[in-house]
Amino acid sequence: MIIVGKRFEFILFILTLGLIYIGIWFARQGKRLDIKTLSCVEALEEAVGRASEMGTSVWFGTGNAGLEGQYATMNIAALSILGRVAELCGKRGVFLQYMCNIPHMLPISQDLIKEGYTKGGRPDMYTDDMSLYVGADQSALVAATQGYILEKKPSVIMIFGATMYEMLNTLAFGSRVGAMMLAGTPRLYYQSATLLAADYQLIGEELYAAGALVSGDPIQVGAIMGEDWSKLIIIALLIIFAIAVNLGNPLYNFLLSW
Amino acid sequence: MSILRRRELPMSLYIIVMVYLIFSNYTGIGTSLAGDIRSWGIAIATFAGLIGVINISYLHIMKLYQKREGWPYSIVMFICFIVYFFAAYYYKPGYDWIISNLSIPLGAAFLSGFNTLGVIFRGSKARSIWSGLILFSVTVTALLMVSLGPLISPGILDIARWIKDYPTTGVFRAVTIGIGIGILMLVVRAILGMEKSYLGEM
Repeated sequence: MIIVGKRFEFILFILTLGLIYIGIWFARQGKRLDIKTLSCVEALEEAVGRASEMGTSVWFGTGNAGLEGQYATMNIAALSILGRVAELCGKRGVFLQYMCNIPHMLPISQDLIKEGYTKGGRPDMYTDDMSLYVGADQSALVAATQGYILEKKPSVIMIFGATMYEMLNTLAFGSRVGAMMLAGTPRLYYQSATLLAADYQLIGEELYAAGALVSGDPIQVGAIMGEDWSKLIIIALLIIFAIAVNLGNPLYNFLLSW
Repeated sequence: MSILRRRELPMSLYIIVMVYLIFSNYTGIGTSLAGDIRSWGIAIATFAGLIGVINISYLHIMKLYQKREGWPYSIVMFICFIVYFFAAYYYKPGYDWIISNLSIPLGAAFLSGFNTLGVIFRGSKARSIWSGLILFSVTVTALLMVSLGPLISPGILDIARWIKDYPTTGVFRAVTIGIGIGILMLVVRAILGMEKSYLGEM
């Protein structure tokens, strides 16, 4: 039933899903899970606290992509972080400014920010213009972001998700106003920029892990445990295949064409 | 609560479509419908453009009505919007002129290497040995792309090519594998109803 050439890939896919589910199951059983911590996630509270002390706003962006196509999962994870940041802003009484150039991100972000402020105990602070649609063009997003940063001088800038070159401009302008910057994207070409310019980064799949971590739900954190087990299996397979290929063993080619 | 307002409906749609696309990818069954579903996603997202127009119009109308700071810019925004809209539907040469002579050059100015590289170099901080290594790699690789590189030292090109072919390729593959597993983690959480941010819920 499975297409020839995709059978091994399918087995790996099911195995990974299974391990992640087992991680969640372990967490549900109340087992203690030792998982990595992400400094960027831990710094969210510190960042919002900084904005509160300085009496400035927090700027948040998810870049030039929405919830359709290949970038959807990246932005779903970024939206989880947005919800948590909104909650922290509500607790500290900080104004949160979210900007997007993808129309359907607007109502979703508005709902998230509203719920975040309500959870944070300050539903009165929420206004619809906390989430701003700036036009459908990437350059419009860059222009609006730069304008906001230079004019309002937010002390904290966060940009997560399927970001593109707007991330470079945002981080550079954030640096000009001395903002604390948190950034993360799984998009390969922009990860080096986060490492260079941001104070805290989420590299690669850490963004997805952060989506689970910010929930604060120990059961969701179990998924990260499963993810780590999957990585161990992938590393083992890489070593086995590297040895096999160098010894002239056809195992690797056989599995790929199986 | 109305069935249309219940969160189970969009969650079910999300999960059913996701499982169908995975099934189609591995079995080759129903690939035509899978292709159509991918197109629907883009079409539905395009319809959402109306939400953006309503939001941006509402914000600027309120700004004008309350004479808030920077209100004259709202007039400029509305003039641009109206001119662009009518040119797009009723005066094609004017629309083409706006795209070729305003939109593309302005976009290119933002995207140009001078702007993007300039701002990232100004914003970069070599706070650790790792970010220092990245700065070094970026500088060397940038020299590979311009004629100035070999003039400084022919050896720079060899270093740049080595960086591009070995460490960069290796890291790209490792990160790609990690991202793949990360996506699967998100999928499992979504199927179990733990991930709800796409519904606007925490």
